[in-house]
Amino acid sequence: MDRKTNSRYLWLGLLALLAVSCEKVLDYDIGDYEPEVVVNSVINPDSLLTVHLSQTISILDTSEIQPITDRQIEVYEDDQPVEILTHSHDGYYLSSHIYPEEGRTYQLKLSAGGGEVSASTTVPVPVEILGADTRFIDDTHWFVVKATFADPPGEPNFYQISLMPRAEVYVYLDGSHVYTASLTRKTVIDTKYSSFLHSMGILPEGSPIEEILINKYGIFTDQLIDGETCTLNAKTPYYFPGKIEQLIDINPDTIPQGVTYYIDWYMDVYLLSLSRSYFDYLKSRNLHDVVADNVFFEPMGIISNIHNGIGIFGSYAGSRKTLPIIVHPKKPAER
Amino acid sequence: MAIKTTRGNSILLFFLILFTGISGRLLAQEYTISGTVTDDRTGERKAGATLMIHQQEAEYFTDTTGFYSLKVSGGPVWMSAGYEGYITAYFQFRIRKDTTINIRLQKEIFLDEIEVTANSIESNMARTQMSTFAIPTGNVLTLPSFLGETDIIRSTQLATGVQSGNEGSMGFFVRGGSAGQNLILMDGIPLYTINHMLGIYSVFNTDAIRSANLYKGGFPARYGGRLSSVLDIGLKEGNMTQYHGNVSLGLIFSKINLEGPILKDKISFHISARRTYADLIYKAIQKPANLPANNGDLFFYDYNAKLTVKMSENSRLTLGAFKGVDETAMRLSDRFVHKNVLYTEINNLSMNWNNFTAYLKWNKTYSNRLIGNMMLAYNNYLFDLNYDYYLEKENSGKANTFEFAYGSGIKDLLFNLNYSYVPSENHYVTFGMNLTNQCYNPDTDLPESAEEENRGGNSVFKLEGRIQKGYLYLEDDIRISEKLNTSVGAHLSGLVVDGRFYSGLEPRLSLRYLFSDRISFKSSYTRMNQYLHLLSTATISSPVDLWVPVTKKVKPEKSSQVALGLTYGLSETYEVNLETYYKKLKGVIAYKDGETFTGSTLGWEDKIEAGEGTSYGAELLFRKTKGKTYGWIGYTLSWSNRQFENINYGKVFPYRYDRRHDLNVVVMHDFSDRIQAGFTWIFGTGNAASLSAHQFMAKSFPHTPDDEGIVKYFHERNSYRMPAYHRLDLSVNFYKKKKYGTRTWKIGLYNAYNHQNPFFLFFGYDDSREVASTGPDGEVVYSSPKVLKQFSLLPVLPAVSYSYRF
Repeated sequence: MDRKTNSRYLWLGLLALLAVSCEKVLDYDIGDYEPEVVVNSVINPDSLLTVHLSQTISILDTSEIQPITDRQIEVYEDDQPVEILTHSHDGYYLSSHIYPEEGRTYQLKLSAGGGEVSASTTVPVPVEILGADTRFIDDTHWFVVKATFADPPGEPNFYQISLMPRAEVYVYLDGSHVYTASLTRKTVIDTKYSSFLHSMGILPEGSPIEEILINKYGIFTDQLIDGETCTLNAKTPYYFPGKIEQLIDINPDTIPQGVTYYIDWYMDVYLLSLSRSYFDYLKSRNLHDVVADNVFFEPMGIISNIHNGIGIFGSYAGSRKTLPIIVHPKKPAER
Repeated sequence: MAIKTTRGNSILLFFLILFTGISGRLLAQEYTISGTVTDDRTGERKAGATLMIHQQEAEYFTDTTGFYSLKVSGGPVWMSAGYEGYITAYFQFRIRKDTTINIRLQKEIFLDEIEVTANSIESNMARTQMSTFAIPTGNVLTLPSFLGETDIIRSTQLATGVQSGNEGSMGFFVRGGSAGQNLILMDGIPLYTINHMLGIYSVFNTDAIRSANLYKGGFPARYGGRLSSVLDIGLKEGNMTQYHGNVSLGLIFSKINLEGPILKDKISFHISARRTYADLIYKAIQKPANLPANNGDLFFYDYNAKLTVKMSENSRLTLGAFKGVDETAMRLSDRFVHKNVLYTEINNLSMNWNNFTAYLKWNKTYSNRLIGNMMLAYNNYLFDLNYDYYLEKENSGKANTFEFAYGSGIKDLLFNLNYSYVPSENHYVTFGMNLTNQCYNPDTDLPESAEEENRGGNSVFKLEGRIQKGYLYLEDDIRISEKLNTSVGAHLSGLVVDGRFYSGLEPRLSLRYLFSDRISFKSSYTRMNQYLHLLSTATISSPVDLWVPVTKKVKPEKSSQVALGLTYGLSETYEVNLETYYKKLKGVIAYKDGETFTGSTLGWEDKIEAGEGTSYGAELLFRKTKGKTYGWIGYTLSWSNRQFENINYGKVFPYRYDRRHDLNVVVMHDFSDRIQAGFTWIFGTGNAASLSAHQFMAKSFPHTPDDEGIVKYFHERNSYRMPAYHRLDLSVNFYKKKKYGTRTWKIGLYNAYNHQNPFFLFFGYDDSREVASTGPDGEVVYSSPKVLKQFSLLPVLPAVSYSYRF
């Protein structure tokens, strides 16, 4: 039972002790409303610039949210127009050539309902991981990862630590390498069985770090470590949902004669530098989800940087360290 | 050699009096007030009736013949007379000669929630003080208001300008202020929590209460430290001549009250105690400790004890103590099979409160013109929350555990001096000082877990530390003419924290003008400073509300309030009172958007921000104070807003307890000496709430665990109004004289017409209907429509209790 569930049950349970309660349906008039444009776009130097457009719907509407497919999006780089995006598929607008660069500012503009929707973001400069280490927690599927970095002094920095277990599967036929599959688990830091203060899964070592309740994104600021060299102590479960063999469609019981395979395991440690707007968005999204079902807390609205709309146009840039977990020393192909 | 009076001499004299108690040769004429206290109906003289001279904090009793004689200094006198089972009578007058006052007390008229104030219309007209609500609370408060107990805080919530919080809670909100802006004094000692059983009851035992006054504005200079109200509750002293007591049996708890002389006319005691049996009921109905079992525990007890020593005719020493203990626990357990393995999961949550105060007070009448008291007090408030989680995999010999403990507390050691001085018949001067050493004791425990990596402990706030603070005050109630009175005062407060010194000069000014003997006009201006903040995360008063001090970064809260009032006495029976007010708040704190109470080992000050607030409104009170039927109708029209730079996009938003209309109707009727009945009807605009009107799609991004999902879109904070709140409560009391006293059966009905009042709102589905829509493949699909739902807490609740007074 996670913290969110605990909280809901505990509060409601205590109240249930006090009295019999009841529910009734209320009329809820949301008044006249023009749907607003929703922008979903987070850019980074390793990917082509991509934007998704949709629109808001009534809170009582249970229908599918429809994408916006009929717009043109003007893209500016450091105030210079660089491309006009047109609809590609399912609400996505893809750039043909823009890989965002560190330190540059990108701006989007599109028309909506007689007005202009716009947003901008400056791609941050990544901070290198100086060193990283990892170990198992005995008899569990949990890993502890330590990562050291030096926070640039002066300007405020916003970070996200991301831990990605990765499995590399090498398949051989009669000793010859014929196939490699790489699987990366998307879950970054699982907080399922941690709770309350610890739930974020990141504990500072040495210097305190800004923490957030149920920090499922693993985000923090340098507010309290400005200019310091800091070691993060993060924890993540290391497992894949199901056997690797099933994921790559290998049945160990019916492997054809002559076929062998090996699995190497790695942990990819990412330290991402986030734009302020993306950090605020993730922080508010995190708290939005935490308090979403708890009626006793002030609900959290998403912090958006979209002018005349809602959503996020943010950016990040990161550095990576790969930690070997189980790597076979020699593979047949390398003999 | 003649002494030349200088400003310096005057100040020196002031402090000599203040710190040494030397009165000098400032004796004024002393007058005698004497008379009898009798039953209004039967004329029976009442032995052991209590006479209070409030400005002297002196208490007297009638002798066995119901006669009394006491001496007071010339000038204004505020006096009350009370007796067990009778309405306390209040008088305010000026005395210029020996006077005989024969007091006829009315038998208590019962209402399920409050005893009618017996302030005479004349006294309300004459007093300079405005914006007050006197809650005389003799032992007449015997009928249940809620589950068997009348409560002083629920009575306070019936005053104009006072809003209750959520249903069932003890919080109250005065003229747009927050719960943390109420100074709640028990015998002069500030309390930091007043809740029992998560707010169902307050810590105030009505059997122990001598007087209760709520100040909403025009604060006398002796009060400070909170912005919005002062609830000053005085506790009883023991009867010096006779033994009295009562025993009450209620649905949730029982209580006992005893008082009497230890040494007749020399030493008396007064003890009141309560204990719930909710814990015993739970134990009886709960399953055994075997799993699975979901159960809880609610327990509290409290006691008030007071020992009074009459050292001389002019000197009285009082030793008092209060202790309140609350324990609340919740246990949720489960067993489940996952992949053929049996798991046992247990969640334990417990919350405990502990209040302890002890004090020594010395009252001294130095002369006919100077009286004073000195108090040394200790106050300890502690709260702790413990949570542990346990997940065991069968036959593995291992368990995943997590523990979390959190605590906070405040310890005060305070020293008070209060003096009243009557230099002439046209002046009534009060002055005094306070020194407080305040210790913040978070008592945070860093739990040890089975696994090092599961250790959960980071203190949220580093509150350990001490604060030294104090104040001086001086006020003069000046009679300028027969028609014009004014009260001019100042409260100078200061605080030292982390080497930083904060101070504030708080002027207090009140004015009363009598247009005629039926119409009086009053006005006041007050400024207040508050050096403590109550930081709330939840939308209801909750355990995670934290008292946090001012720091170098977090500055004090400040308020300024102007009030105007008009009192019109229609007759000796009916009175109309109209007040308007405007209050400006500065430095009020709240969490920034996206922040909450956990999450940082340091720097909590950076999670909050200071903002401003305004509140204004009008309060209309129509009272009938005499006759078989009496009561009042109070109506409040008010606005209350807040503004923070980083909350709600910097825009002004309604305070959660902004309540446009608030109406209280209180009616009591005395059918006979044996049957009394009453009702209250309460109506209030619904609380402001933040509801999303729309939703949108949030896509999944790299390095985030989210799949794409729907998130709620909030346009404005507190832009939605919950449905209006209204409730009717009824009560009937039956009395019967017995050999050794009076027994009382009390029958009440809370929420008599069973109105479903909103406790909170949420979005759900209406499973009584289905609507058709088109599916992704063009097919027709049916589903329950999404709707807004209201959760109501307290339906109609009957209550009965039995008490016996002797």
